[in-house]
Amino acid sequence: MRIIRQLATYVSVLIFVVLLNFWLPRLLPGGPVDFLTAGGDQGAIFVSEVQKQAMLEYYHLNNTLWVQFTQYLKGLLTFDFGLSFTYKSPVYDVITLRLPWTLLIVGVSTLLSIIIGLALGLLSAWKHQGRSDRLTFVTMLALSAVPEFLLGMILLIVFSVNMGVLPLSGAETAFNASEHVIDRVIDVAKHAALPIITLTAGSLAGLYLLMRNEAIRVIQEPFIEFATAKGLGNRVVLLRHVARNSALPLVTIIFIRIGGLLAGSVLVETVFSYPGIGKLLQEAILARDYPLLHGLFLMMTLSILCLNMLADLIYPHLDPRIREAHKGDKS
Amino acid sequence: MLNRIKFSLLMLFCIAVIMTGCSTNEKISGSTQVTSELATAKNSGKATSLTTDSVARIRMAWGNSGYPSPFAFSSSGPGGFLRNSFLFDTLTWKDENGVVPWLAKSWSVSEDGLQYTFDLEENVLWHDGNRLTADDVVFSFGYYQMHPFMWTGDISQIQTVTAIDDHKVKFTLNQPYAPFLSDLVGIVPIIPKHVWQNVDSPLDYRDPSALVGTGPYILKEYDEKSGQYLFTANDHYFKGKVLVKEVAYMNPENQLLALQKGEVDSAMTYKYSEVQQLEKEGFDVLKSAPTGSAVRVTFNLDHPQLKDKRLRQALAYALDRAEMAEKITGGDPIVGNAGIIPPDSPWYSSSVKQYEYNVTEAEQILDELGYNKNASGVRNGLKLNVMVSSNSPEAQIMQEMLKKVGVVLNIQQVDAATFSTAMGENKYDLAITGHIGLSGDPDYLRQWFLGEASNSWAARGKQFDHATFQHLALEQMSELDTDKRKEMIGEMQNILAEELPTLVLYHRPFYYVFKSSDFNGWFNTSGGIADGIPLWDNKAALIDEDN
Repeated sequence: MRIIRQLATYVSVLIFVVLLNFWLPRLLPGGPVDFLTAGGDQGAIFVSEVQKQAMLEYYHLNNTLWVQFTQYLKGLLTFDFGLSFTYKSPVYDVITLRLPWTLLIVGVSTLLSIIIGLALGLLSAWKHQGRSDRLTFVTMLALSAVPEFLLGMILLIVFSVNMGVLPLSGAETAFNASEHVIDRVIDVAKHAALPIITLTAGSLAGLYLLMRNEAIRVIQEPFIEFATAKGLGNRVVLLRHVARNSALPLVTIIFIRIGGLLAGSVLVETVFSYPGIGKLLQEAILARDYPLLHGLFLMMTLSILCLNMLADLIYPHLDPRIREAHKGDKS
Repeated sequence: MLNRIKFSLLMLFCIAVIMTGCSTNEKISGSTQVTSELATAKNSGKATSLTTDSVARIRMAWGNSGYPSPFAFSSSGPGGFLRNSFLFDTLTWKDENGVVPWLAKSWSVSEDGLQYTFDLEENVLWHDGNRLTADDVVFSFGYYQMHPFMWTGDISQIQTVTAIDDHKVKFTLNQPYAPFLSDLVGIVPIIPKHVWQNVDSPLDYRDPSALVGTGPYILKEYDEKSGQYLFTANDHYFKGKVLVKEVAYMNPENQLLALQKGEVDSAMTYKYSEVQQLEKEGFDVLKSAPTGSAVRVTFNLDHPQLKDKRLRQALAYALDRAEMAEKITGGDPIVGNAGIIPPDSPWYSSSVKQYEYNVTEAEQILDELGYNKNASGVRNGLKLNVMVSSNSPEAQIMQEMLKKVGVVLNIQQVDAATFSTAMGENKYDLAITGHIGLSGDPDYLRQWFLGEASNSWAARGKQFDHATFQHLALEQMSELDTDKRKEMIGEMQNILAEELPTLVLYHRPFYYVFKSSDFNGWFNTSGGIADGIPLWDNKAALIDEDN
């Protein structure tokens, strides 16, 4: 019964998002053809009426909204969103070309921020009231107050502009003549280093603070006292008892973070001009590229919904209290 | 209980591993694929590097211009057209002296200017080895009727194209069309019949054959995600030896830094302060001549107050455009011609009325129009909006200058798509735009003001309501006598200067920053590349015709 109710919630959210997905981009002022023919900073072109009509027809923009909507729905079912207006190639291809790069930087930084955040939080809680706790706590608070793009720009100025040790932008050296795979990997790593550091720093503080608070609470519980009384070593108490129990509320947060993987990071990718999903999203919005926006939003929604659902399913297994509550619910 | 928790944690861990595993997997497969491509690149590089006195590779900076096939390149900005012109050729082309034969080695025009007969070069090979014939030319223009070429080049002027023999083509026009050689057959690329005759949907046609042209370069790699191109020389080019073996277009976030850090070899910019800085650091600089560009204010002629030309003239007098140009462009500022055509264009008429900075004149007209100043020096009932699509120093300077004559100007900044829509729907008072294309054939005056050009900055769908101007605009198009045509264009400039549908603030030169030690063959194209692009990556500069 509970599962059905939950499923219904997910399905209705999905339907709502699918509808919103179609209408939201179209509520923006201006349309794609205006953008395509407007030209950039350095010049624009003359588009004759004939050319403009051809363009409208090609992109099915001269159809009524209702026809466009049914086509959109049909596309959803077949995962065919049509052609991106700006890239003139299938939305699916445009996205899959950029997705690995986003997964690389956001994935690594999510992993790093989880590991570092949880470890530091735990340590901090263990040394609660001590000097090292104070220091990390204040540092993390300060870090959480710095906006991502500012941090990114500072790193860029220091490491790329002044010291010149890391590249200025992009994901890899273009048309690099190196033959060795190792060189390629080093090149990619060099380009990814600063975005990863920025993203990690950006989401580290939140995880740290949450972990620290939870751990401090757990440490005060009687069962920890009991464990210490049993004569268990610090390590065992910390890892087996404190860590495990305080990490529980973080599971949801971690799942949300993973869901955010596919959304990329608009700010960081823009600062480093990194060719990922976030930058693509920004370009698509500016260009009013409806099909691309549909594809991107749907991908993000689906991934977040799926992971949420997974968290919902896994959580009772992790936390006996919730499981018991559900059992009570059933009877 | 404990086991269950263990199991769940294990599961969680597995999911985490799978998630991250996905990303690393893709990363590795991505990089190996690139390396294999690079390995082949290296091999072919070895083969060509044996030839001496040619340049191995030049890296230029420019943004993403889309997939460079004739149907998919990006039409916002000249980059897409130029990338395409490396792969595909046209019947004529332009170099530093003007129109030159290209795929057509010679041509003749009938007395009435309605028929052009072109003799094609005979040893032209498509990149796939097939031979170019007159059939390809006939096919190209037929194909563009169904699938428009998304750049300029008004093919509706053409009535028929027929092949006389394998290397002779005859064009028949609907009416004499003065810019035919430069702005029609000099722009529309010839595409291979054997490829495109089977393609119904050219925009998303991504088969490698979509890039088979006759041009001096072959696209070796297009890095779509970053918008970067690597072109390699076509060793069998009919026009001669290609001097630069590889041309790469890079897309750095910051051009200036990229030049300084050696990530690119050359770049194009209109920022004079950057140019000065780079010159000090040992770069060479070429300035666009003719400038070919304008930064201008478009007036909404339907606006209840602005539709009175006296108000537009008053605003023109109130703006110290010389100072504005000096402040913004530095160098040798070129104040905007009230008649639009830049002073360094051969079509410029020097007798056109100009609006020197004159506050008294401006105040007088504004008083006459009944916009009286109140106690605080602000004119009653005159409050205007100026729309800009990017952070515009021009708008801020205008605001200050107009304040001096008591006119309140409100700056309204919107994004590019909103800007275009507002222009198209005439929902603005004043708008500032900067663009190129003013040095080529002056037929653009007709296109702008007769509602032919469906673009954002030419009052789309709107005609400039002036009978004499409209008449002249149509007449000049068919006038084949250059002197007579110049007279008409001069008259059109007079009308534009008097009526001021738009006011050019200044003409903005572009600068090419490069190192002559890398390659020194660059030149300013006469009247700009194709329809007046004031840039330097003209393929004619990269070819040695004697070899």
